[in-house]
Amino acid sequence: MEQKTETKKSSIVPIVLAIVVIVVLAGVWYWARKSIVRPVPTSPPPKPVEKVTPKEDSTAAINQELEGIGILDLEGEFKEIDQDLNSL
Amino acid sequence: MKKAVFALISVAILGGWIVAFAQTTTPRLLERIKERPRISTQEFQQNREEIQRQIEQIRAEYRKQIQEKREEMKAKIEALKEQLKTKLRERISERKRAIVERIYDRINALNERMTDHYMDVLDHLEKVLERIESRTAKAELNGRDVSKVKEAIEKAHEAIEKAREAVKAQAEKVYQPPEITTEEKLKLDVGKLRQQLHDDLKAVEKLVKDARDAVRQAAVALAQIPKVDELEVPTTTETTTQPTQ
Repeated sequence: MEQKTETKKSSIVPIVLAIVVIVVLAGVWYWARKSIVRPVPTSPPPKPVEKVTPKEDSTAAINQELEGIGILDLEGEFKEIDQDLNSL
Repeated sequence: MKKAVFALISVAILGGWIVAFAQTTTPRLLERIKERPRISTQEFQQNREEIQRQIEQIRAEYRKQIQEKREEMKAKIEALKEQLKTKLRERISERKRAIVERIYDRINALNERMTDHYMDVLDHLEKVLERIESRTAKAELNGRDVSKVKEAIEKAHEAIEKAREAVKAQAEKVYQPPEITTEEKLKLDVGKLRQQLHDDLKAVEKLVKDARDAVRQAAVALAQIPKVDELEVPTTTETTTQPTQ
């Protein structure tokens, strides 16, 4: 009876050892795989956004131009003269 | 004999007037393509470029005339300044003399700066009006009713011309130094000159603003044409291009 148990034990040990070795190897493989610097996946360059510029004679461009035409404030331009005048 | 001389003089005056008028009136795209119900895109563009060139030439000539006049005025202003100095030396304290002289310099400088500014504004308005005309011409070539826009464009041209004449006259003005009476009345005397310049510039400013409003009106009338921005010069079977004037 005792001899039977002994043979059973001796047959399990190599299996357990094999499993341990496999697990260790798998761990080493996994660690090695992880440590390899993976190339950073490069995202495709963003497509240049097509800027739709309105034609120079479009109503939008015309209005924009008109809005940009400013006329100087006359009263403000007289400020220096008025300061001098007040010091007389 | 007298009749012949009179006729010759009349023709010469009329001719001179026509030449002068032709030189100062802004060339118009709408007038140029009026007689052309069909025009190629290339021709249209050539006409526009030619008109833009002519406008530039007229404006350059306008500015040159003013610049020449200003050069002449410089000597006159210097002489007037000397007269003012003499008058001030007789009646006014040194501190106030310097202030009055400075005001007189500033009056002339401000007139130059403001008239230059108004000229820039009018040049800009004219460019915008040319664009309005271009878009209107495209609409007309596509059979749209552009009568209201044309009317507004005409008014805008008139307003710009009127403002230009006023700016030119203002730019060529030489302001006389203030009449100096007594030191007590100095502020009042110099104030009169300041008010004169202010009133003159205000009047010119009004005309420039009127011109800007008139161009705005033309832009508003143009925008009322349905889908006006989508209209281009209709394609023609013509391939030959005619030389522009």
